[in-house]
Amino acid sequence: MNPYLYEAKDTPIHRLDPRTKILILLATFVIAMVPSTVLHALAAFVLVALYVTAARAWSTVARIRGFLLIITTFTILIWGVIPRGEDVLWLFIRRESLVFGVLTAIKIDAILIAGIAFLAATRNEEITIGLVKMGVPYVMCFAFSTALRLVPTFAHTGATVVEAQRSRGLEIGAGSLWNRMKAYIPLMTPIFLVSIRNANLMAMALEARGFGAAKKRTFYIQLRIRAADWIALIATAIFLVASILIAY
Amino acid sequence: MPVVEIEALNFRYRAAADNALRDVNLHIEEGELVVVMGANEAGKSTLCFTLNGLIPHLVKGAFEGRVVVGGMDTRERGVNELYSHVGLVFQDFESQLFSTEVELEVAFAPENLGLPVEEIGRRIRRALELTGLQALSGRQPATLSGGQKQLLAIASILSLEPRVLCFDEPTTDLDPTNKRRIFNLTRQLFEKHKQTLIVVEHETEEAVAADRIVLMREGQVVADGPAREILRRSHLLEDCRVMPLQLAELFDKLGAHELPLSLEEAKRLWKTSSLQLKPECRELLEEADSEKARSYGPPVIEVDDVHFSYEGGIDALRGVSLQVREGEFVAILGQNGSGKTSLAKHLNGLLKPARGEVRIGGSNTRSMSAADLGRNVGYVFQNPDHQIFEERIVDEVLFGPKKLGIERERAQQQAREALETVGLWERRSEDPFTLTKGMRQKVAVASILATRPRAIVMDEPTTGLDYGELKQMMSLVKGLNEAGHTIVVITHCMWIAAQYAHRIILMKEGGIVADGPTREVFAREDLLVAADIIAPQIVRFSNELGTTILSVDEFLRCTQTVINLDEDPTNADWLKTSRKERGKKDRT
Repeated sequence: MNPYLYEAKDTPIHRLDPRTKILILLATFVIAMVPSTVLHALAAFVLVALYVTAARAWSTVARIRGFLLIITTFTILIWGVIPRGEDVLWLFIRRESLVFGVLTAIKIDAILIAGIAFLAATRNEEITIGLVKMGVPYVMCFAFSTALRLVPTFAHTGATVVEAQRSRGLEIGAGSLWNRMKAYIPLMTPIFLVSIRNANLMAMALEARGFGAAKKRTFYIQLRIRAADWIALIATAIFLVASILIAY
Repeated sequence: MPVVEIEALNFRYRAAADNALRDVNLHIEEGELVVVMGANEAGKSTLCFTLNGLIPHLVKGAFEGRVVVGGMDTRERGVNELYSHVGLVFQDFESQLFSTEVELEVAFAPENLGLPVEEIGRRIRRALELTGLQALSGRQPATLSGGQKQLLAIASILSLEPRVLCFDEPTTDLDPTNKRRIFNLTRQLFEKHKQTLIVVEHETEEAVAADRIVLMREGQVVADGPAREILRRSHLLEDCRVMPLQLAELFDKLGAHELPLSLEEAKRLWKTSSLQLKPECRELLEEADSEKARSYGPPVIEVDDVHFSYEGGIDALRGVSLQVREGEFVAILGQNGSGKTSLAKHLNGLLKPARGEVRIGGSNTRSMSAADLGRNVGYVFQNPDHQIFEERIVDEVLFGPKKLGIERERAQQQAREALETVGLWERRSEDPFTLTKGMRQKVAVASILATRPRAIVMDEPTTGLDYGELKQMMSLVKGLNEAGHTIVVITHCMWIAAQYAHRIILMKEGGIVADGPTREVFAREDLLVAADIIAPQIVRFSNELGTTILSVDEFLRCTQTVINLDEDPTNADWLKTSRKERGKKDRT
């Protein structure tokens, strides 16, 4: 199983310079956040959907479908019960609250999906070097991409620990909330201790391979801004301006 | 001038009571292959960490003496200056890989050197070619097999092109095929590329190829000399908790003077010493085997045409059927990815079959709760750290019985018995995290034992243990079996399987290729070869003699000692004196 979100595919999005993709991602955040009507938000969502299609990243998005579903449901529920406007639909649910809930859910989903599409089409190292070339210090970029890398490692350790405790009779998700929380102690302790130990080893391995040793580091990946990058950037800029103009 | 000079080196970790290294003196010449052997905690890894300055710069402690590598004193130079001269590959390959592409992983170190891109490209190609990973250059390291990951960890250090290469137990977690790959690479680097190599290794059979062996015990170098000489001193090795070569041990115990290291040498010596197997030995062995078989009870676990595949569509099991009867001791052998662990996880319901069924004590695992399963089949995981979480050993052991709903007093009684069995009752109030790996593994075994399961499944219970710990662990398991527990062990360690298991299940590509009494399976070397497994030295030797013998002890029971005085007078003299000495010792 692939523990990363990145999928090696040959698409126009994969071929873009990571700097372009970082800028597109930032612009997408704005494009997705500014809408104040559901229709506008849907339009922004469609843009994101097109981007995902171009990056052939729907399978990656599908990997977090459960998470997206939970976020969508909770956003609509929570915003739906907070009073807003006068028009009562049913009991205490008001029309405006519901609309706002749906609007917010679309925005959040669009942002999450755009983020996933970015990670699906950009290698960790490309993100690092893209950020470095944009002026972010290397150590910070490395920390960022390592954090991304550690998520699957964490999940893997977690799965093993769950199996080990389950085979000793630990039932997870049974009984009262308090009992359920207590059931997590036997899981969290080994996960943290194993992870701390691994992090320590990784620090030594990094030193042994000269991390941060020389002042000037070379990057094996060479970045190049091509015509396609300019086209993508210009298109993004147009959508960005249009979106802001429509919203205000 | 030696490329590594270590003089009067002492090191004590911060917060440790004793020195990890004590008065170590070691000179290593350019182009040497030095194998460092010794028990766990003997100071082997600590020694490696001093070579590139990780000690004393990153890992702090009390450091005395001098380590000079290629003319540089490691106290005066930081790791940032030393790393390109001493390449260090760690034991745990998982935490050494952090890139998302094989090529970029190898590029990481030369990138840090600030080399031009063309030079980095050349070094990547060389490192991948040496390790045979060219075909995988675009793959994600996380998707590689264990052996490939370890090779990649090595490649990512080779790209530094260091003067000295140091491997800290590179083969511990690997299956036999991958072990062999790493050994072949080591040999190739040494012979063809004149690379200076320092390798920490537990596998005695592979150490024969080294120039020189450094044997460590409790932080000290106790022997340092030509490999062939050190390996003949099987007593000393055993004292240092390093596994002696089986053939050397055998002939030593038979009273031979010159000890053989290889099969060929052993065959020659066997002939010239006119040694013979007892004529009735085959019957004796078969009698013992069938007596074991008669003691088995009804089936505990029944596996019926089980198919299973993981997400992503890899078929892990393709129609596996077997029965495990009460009192059996079964070893499951096979390469990584052959389906061993998938099968084992079906035996206690951690995995449920996609097709076919698994019955435990007659009931289908699909309809059993976790507690039901836990009561019947205990599962000891490979790494004890994945389950230990309590602050006192006894609480850790009580966790299982409590979860299974056993009443307090009986749970405590069972925990006590379990801890007594593994020999940790006296230390029950200690914190399990302060114990050595071998001890932690025992805590894990005790915590399963305390639930009194009918059968115990163990996934690689000896990984990372040294010979001393390993023998203790296995005699513990043997004792459990003799007390009536059914045991299923997954292992890469062939001599363990041969010596302890009653029955061998050989797996390949998700299916069972052989299933039978240990002696019968090990007699079929063609089968083993097909599954890419090499039988232990003693088994291969006995097969040449026409009777399959599984351990040194068994061999000694089967041998008729005939010493031909005319043919080998020195040998006979030596035998006489040694017997006299032994007699003296017995009397005192």
